[in-house]
Order: sequence, then structure tokens, then C-alpha cells
Amino acid sequence: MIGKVASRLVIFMLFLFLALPLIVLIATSFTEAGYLSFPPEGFTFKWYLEVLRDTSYLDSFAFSFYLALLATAISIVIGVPTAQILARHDFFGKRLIEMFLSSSLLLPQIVFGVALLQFFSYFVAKPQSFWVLTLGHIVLTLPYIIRTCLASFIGLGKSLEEAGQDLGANRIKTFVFITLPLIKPSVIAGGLFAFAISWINVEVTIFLSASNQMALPVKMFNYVQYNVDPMIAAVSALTIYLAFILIVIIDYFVELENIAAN
Amino acid sequence: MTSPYIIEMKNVSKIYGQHPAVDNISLDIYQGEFLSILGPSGCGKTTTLRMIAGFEYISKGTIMLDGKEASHVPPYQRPVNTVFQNYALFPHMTIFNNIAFGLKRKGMKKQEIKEEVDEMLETMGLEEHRDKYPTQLSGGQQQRVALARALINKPKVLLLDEPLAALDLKLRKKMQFELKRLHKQVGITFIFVTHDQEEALVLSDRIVVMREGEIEQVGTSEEIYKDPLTSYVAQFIGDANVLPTKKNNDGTVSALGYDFPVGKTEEDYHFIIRPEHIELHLSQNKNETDMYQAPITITEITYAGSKQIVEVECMDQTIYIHCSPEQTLSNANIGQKAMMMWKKEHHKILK
Repeated sequence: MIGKVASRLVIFMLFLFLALPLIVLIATSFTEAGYLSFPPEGFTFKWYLEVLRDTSYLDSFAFSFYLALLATAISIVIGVPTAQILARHDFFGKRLIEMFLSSSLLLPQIVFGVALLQFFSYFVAKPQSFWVLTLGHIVLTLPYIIRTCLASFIGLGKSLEEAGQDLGANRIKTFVFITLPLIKPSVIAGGLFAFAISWINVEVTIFLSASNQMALPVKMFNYVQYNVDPMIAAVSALTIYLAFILIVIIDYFVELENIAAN
Repeated sequence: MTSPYIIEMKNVSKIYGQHPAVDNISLDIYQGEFLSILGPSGCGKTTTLRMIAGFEYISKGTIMLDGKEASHVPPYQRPVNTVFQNYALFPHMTIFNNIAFGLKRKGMKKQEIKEEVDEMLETMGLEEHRDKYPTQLSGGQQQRVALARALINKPKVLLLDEPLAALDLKLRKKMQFELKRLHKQVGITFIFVTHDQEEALVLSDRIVVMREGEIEQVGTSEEIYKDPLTSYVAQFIGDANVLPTKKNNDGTVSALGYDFPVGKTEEDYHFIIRPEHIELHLSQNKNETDMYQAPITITEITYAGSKQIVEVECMDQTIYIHCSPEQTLSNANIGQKAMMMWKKEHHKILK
């Protein structure tokens, strides 16, 4: 009994620990004061209106969204087959490739950003372009797709894929009808991580962005270097709402499928 | 002229790295037969099946399916279907869609698929599970779905990879019977991989006994049981007493006090006799008979329902004898001296 209460309490504290910064941030974004204050003084939407009136912020939202979406989509297209190959085949140097593909998780991202800038400087005249930036983000997001899908492929085993082939489906049809539906939850989970990693990235983005491309985290970073007011809290809060809506939507679809499968 | 064989394997090997999982086997499989591939785990039986299915490409040799060279034909183009050991039912599809999967890949019309699948569901007694998912079914039901999913494609050969291993004994017996009935009904070749010798004996027209990647013997259940070619086969199929023999200089080997000619050889021979072929006589006297006989000491008597298992010692060897439950052994004591007798056609001297 006491153990049960205690464990509930620990779980509650854990949630509080995770959620409190977000709650503080969201609360602050409604303050009437001209500085960051908690608890908020009064209640106003004026910081949100200010963000929405400033088209450069909306542009940054759109730009970051587009960038994260593109990096995630390309990562999925590359990462899922790569994970399948890594899970299904044994070949010389496999472990090395696996570690290499995860290396961007271990390197300090700021180092990584400089390294990428130098690297691309050798090959393209203008390294700070959208495609270079996307490529940089793919390097960051790919490991998340590969790692979640790799585990999923290994857990799935190969007999279901063999059954698909046995029943007359070639490799592509087997992948579409058997493999993909079964690993979809992992692709979605990995995709969410990948999207978030790209969405929040400052270090790599700041080095590879052209002056007319302002990803949201870079814009926020630039802004808080000179002034800190509740508008930045409103921007942050908006990204939280966005993430929340995204998760609810995806959860809804995944949940529906789980219900169907059981 | 059509060949009587649906599958012809010639000098087929499968080599993983340095180690041959299947080592130079040749095997012809008749149209419509029920063939079991029998052996302990790691003997290459599953690899052989997977090479026929196309999941493993052969390293050496050739394999002909239905008269056509098939060594490099991918699984989805082979006229064979497989029932997997763990059934491998698609968990995200209903039973109907699981069974319809193969027909859909053939591009059959929706209405025809529906009719065929519904008919198959009825044949297999699965109508009420049509719209359920595999996890909602019992092991035996999943087994039948796996069979239905394979058979609906009308394959030339059905491959079964230890499909009964996961079922409990009672269900296994029932499914053995059902498999046999199904085989008669559809009339196609069944290739059945198992490590269970009894299952193989009951089901098969012919049995292939494998050992360490090689074929040890091929024959009907009766041939394999009555006429094993090696002590390994004798030991693996049914119960057998396998005793070492002593090599003599004159080209004979001795066991249980008798000499048996084998010719000059370096190889070791075994004396083999099945427990049910030995008669137990409680008197200690030599009998006037042309049967072989040897003095024994009874060390254990076990009543096992359909038989009595008597453990005896004969010249420092432990031997098991199966006696009928009617034979009165109640006045036999542990440690009692007795005689065992057997007809000369019943023992074998094998490598």
C-alpha cells in the first residue's frame, strides 16, 4: 500500500520535473509585464499577436517546418532500407557502418557544424545554401530513423517477410504489404524524433544557413542575444503547441491501428 | 514423357563460410508423395527445405522443380508454398486477408478471391474466425490458417517446417491425422521436416534420415524401421539397443558371446537389436532352440501400460527388453538371473 503510494508519488514528481519548465514557459508567455516574469502578471495575448504580426517569425516557422519535414522524409527514405539491410544481412564492416551512422549522436554538434561547413566549402562555391543545410540536417536525423527501425526489424524477424515472398509477393510488394505496416510505429516514432531534432537544431543550422534563411531556433538564438522579453516565450510556447498537436494527431492514427490489430 | 519426380536435387550443397550445412545430397521426390525429412537439430533438414522453397540459394549442385531448373528462381516464382514452424501469419491482417494474400498477388478478381477463400475457410473449419486476427486464435487454429494460406495457391509442393512442434501432444496427434487426410484430398507432394521420428513414421510414404548435412538413408517407414542401414538410423528411429562390438583378427566381431562375420575392416561395428525383438525367459537354463540366447541379470522392471520395460545386464552391457503386459513377471526379482533370446533375423551388425 505504502509502496504503491510512493511509486505513484515518484511518477508524479517525475512528470512534474519534465513538465514544469514547459508550464512556466507557457505561463510566462501570457504575462502583461514587459519582461519575463513568473508567476505572470495579468493575462494578455499581446505577445502572441506581436509574433503573428512579425512576418519574419512566421517565415521562420514555415522555413523550419519545411526543413524539418524534408530532412525527416529523406531520412526515412534512406534510413528504413538501410536499417533493413543492417538487420537482415551480415557482411564485413557492418558494426563499423552501424557505429559510423550513429556518430553524429556522439559528436558535439557545434564541432559538427564547423566540420560540415569546412567539408562543403571544398566542394561547392556557396556552402551556405538550402540543400547543404538539408544535407546537414539529414546527417543529424538519419541515426534516429535507423536506430528505431533497426530494433523493429530485428524484433520482427525474417519469417514474415519470407512468408510474403513464399506467397508470391516480390521484394517490393513484400515490403509494402508486410514489412512497412508492421514497422510503421517505429518509423513514426523515429520520424517524430528526427523532426524534433531538426526543428530545434541551432549549432549545425547556424553554420550552414544563408543570410536569407532563418530557421526558427537560429532566429530565437539571435533574438535572445540582445533582448529577452515575453515575446520569445510566446514563440517557444507556439512550438510547444505545435509539437503537442502533432503528437496528438499521430497518436490518434497509431492508436486507431492498434485497436484494429487487436 | 513426364518425369515421375516433382523435385530432383543433384549433388546439392549449402555452405556457410567454411561449414557445409548440407553436404552433397541427391534426392528425387515423387509427384504426390508424403516425404518426411527427419533428423536432429542441425542436421541440415531445415536448410534442405529452405533451399527447395528458395529462401536459401544452393552453393553447389542443381535443383529441378517440376522439370525446370530452379536453382536461382526466387521464392515468389516457385510453385511451392510453405507452412512455417511458427506459422508466420501476418499479424496485421484478418484471417480472410491472410488466406487471400497469395491469390491477391496473382491478380485474381475480388469476387473470385472471396469465393475461393470462403470455400477454403469452410474446408478448414475456420468460417467463424474469418474476420478475426491471428493473435485471437489458438495454436491449432493458427496452424490451420497457415495450411489454408499455403494450400489455396494450389502449389505443386507443400513444404512443412516442423509445423506441429508447437502444439501439445493431443492436438499434435489430431493434426497428424488431419494432415494425412488433407494430403490424400489435395493430392500434391508434401515435404515434411521433423525431428520427431514417430511423427515421420506415422505420416510418411517415404522418410529421409539426415545426419550432419548428409542423407543417411531414404526409404519407406517400414524399410527404415526394419532395415536400418546404419546404427545411427536404428538408434534414431524407434527404440534400439546399440552395443559396441569387439573386433577379432579373423574378420569377425563379437557381441553377447557370439561372433559375427563382417570381413576385414578398420571400421567399428555395432550390435543392434530392438527391445521388442527380445524374449525374456525367467529360467536360467539354455533352451534347445536355434534362437540366439544370452544369460542376463534383471536390474529393473517398469510397467508402462502397453508394455513392460525390463532393464537387464548382460556381459556388462545394459539392455532394454519390451515384454507384453500379459507376460507374468510378478515373480521376477531384481537381481534375478534369467535368459534372453532372439531370432537371428532380428539383430543387425551395422557401422
